[in-house]
Amino acid sequence: MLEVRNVNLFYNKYQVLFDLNFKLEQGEILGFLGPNGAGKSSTMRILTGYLTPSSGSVRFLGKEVSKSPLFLRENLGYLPETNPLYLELRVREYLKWVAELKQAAEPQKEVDRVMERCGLKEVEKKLIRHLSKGYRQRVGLAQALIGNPKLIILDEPTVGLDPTQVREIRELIRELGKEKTILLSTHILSEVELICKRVIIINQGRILTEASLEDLIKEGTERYFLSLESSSYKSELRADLEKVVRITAEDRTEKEVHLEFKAQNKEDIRFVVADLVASYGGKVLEFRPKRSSLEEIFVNLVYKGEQK
Amino acid sequence: MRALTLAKKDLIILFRSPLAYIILSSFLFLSGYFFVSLVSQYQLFSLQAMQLSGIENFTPQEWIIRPYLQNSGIILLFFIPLITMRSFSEEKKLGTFELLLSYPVKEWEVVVAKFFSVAVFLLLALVLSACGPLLLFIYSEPEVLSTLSGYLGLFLLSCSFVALGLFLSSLTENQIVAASLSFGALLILWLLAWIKDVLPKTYQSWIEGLSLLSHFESFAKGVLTGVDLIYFFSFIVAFLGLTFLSIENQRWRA
Repeated sequence: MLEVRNVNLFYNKYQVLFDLNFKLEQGEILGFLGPNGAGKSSTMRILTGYLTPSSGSVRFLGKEVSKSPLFLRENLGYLPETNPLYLELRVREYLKWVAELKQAAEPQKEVDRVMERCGLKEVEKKLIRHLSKGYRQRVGLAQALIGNPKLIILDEPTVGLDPTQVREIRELIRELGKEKTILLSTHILSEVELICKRVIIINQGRILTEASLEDLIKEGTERYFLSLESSSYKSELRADLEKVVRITAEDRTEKEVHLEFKAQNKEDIRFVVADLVASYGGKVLEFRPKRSSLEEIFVNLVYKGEQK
Repeated sequence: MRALTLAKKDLIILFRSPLAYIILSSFLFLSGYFFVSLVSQYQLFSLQAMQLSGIENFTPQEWIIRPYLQNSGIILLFFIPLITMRSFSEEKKLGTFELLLSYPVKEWEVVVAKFFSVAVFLLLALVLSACGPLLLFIYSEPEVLSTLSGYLGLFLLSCSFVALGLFLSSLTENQIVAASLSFGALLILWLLAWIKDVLPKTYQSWIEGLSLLSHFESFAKGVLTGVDLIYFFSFIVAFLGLTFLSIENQRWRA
């Protein structure tokens, strides 16, 4: 749906984005993840056509964005990072104006539909100036949804909200993701973990990795944790285990033995290990992959990237 | 059509802020003050004029309406930058401009809408300020056509101020900078004609041709010429065009 090819961006003499390449497929929720100042918002601005890249191309449904910006704008819902709103307008008034601009077939109905969805009914007559931050964020999201856009780009949609509001907004985004293509930019990892299926991690203007969340987590899952009852842990079992895995830590208490090990290669060795332990009559108390959190993976990647 | 929708939003916002009313009432107060003083001056002189003949063109047209229009022009020169300074600068500062350009609108529609909304505001100000001259028509017989042409001139003049103000506002996020630049530029264009006497002959007509004041004066005299109309129209179109280019250009400079 959206295709970014070899995009570079210079700001004066400084290069802000380095050779970005990625695709956004129809119907997916892509997480765009990076620390503050990584170049996320600049990228969003390029995707929406507000900035033109210094080199490279952005295509929306096959059409170059910088050449036919209107085609993108007709199909885009955008919530910028700062959630800019016209504070002097009333909620319904503002949303209706957006609906008219986006040429919705029935502006009133469209506004009703979106207000319903974002829970704005009870504040429809208020001036946006008088709304709380949470409600303003909902208005921001509502204006992005008006006109039933094919592509929705959300830049840090939950920033500055309290935990309940964050949960509501995330729920809403996940709901939307069932039918829409969404690009979600954020620096909050758990957000990506909860909402997105695929992630792009960006730091200092470069894409560090692009993977499905599943792969990313699997990649971080190298170690396994096994706990056996002491009496059932025999030296023959250990010897056989060492043929398939590399034991990295071993801990004994009176009742339990704790083992940590890695697979020799990247295969899933859980069945092999389970069968082996069973054949020696080992009494398993606990067996699980030691899943490194997205947090660790992220920090690792960013750190590695910076070392280069 | 989209330009109208855009302008509607700008007008709502303009009239919901106190600024619109402050400017409107200050303008009406000041121009009313000038009107009253012009009328009383005329009254004073008319008593003497009966005794001493020889004052040329002693008509309400020449002594009240024409100077009234000129004074109104000068007052507008000070107030219009205060309205146009917000147009782009404020939207850019708040970030709403980025969002606005993510809607299905074309850049030129945004420019036209901004111009249109301020022009509507000015039209309102001018119609309200026409109350004074209308009173003259009840008690006296000024020339209808020259008054109308004077008002057309005043409207075109203020539209030119608006076009220039919009352009300068599109260059910066800072409203104060936008307003100051507009004051400066407008004053220079207004007063350009003053230095023509010290310049060599060949440049005199050039300078005069550039000055807003000299083109406005013929309207106020009731003389509608093609040159003046073309001057104002091209002035407006040129600065709206520059505004458009400046917005387009910002996409390229990050």
